[in-house]
Amino acid sequence: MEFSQRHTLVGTAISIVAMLTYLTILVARAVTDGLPLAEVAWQGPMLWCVGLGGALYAVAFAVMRAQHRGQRVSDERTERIDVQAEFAASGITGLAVLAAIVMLALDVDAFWVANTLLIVSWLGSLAGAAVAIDAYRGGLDK
Amino acid sequence: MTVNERAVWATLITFPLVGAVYFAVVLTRAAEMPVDEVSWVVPMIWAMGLLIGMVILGTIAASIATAIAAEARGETAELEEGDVRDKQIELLGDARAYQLSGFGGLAAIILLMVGAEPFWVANTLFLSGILTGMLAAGIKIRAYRNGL
Repeated sequence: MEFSQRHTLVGTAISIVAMLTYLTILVARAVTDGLPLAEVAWQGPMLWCVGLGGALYAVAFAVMRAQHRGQRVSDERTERIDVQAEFAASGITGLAVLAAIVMLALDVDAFWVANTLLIVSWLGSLAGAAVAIDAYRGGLDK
Repeated sequence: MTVNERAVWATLITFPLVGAVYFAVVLTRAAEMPVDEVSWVVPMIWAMGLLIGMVILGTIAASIATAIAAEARGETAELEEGDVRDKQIELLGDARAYQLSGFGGLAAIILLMVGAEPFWVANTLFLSGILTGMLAAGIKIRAYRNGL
């Protein structure tokens, strides 16, 4: 498996695990403390999950890059896949920003605004990853 | 020049203009009164409408001007439709600018964490949207001029 395909798969796995961990912590806190979901302290878990997920990805990237030392890791094809994946993600992330602005205009609680931004942007990156993974499996010019 | 390229030029001119006017209006209001009393929603809706409207009108005006100039020279106007290259440039610009919008979202989440006023969060997001649009348009113009 080539480098860019591997780091996409590993990055996607890490991002799904980090997000599920974050959501589990939120729900667990709400249930064990008997609080409504929106009153749970979400700031700490979000920072930890995003920070640890990012750090784990950076380490995994560095290790995989070292294994491919001395090889060309990007070419015209991986560039094109990259652009298509980011394009798919950019559309959904744009929607996340617009949704957050509308929620702020309607004075929605910060909990919901922040989590909408995080989760919809995450879904965007997931859509991008799906496009990339599909393209690596030979579907670029379908 | 294709219709898509004219739209990109219109974006490159409209976004900074509308952004500057919007922030001039809203920030002067914010300087005069507490930010939770500033009504930013209506100006922002206007600004968003203007962004879309002016890009469309600018593209149409540029096409008409091109057609008139060509007629004046006694030629037939060439108003090309977009093609595969336009599509590739569109993809490239939006894809590369995406990374900037990620920073805007992160900044907004951090502002929400520290309990900032909705005014600052929404305007951070709007500013990052304007900058992302400008960056995407800039990358597209560069690709049109220098090749992909």
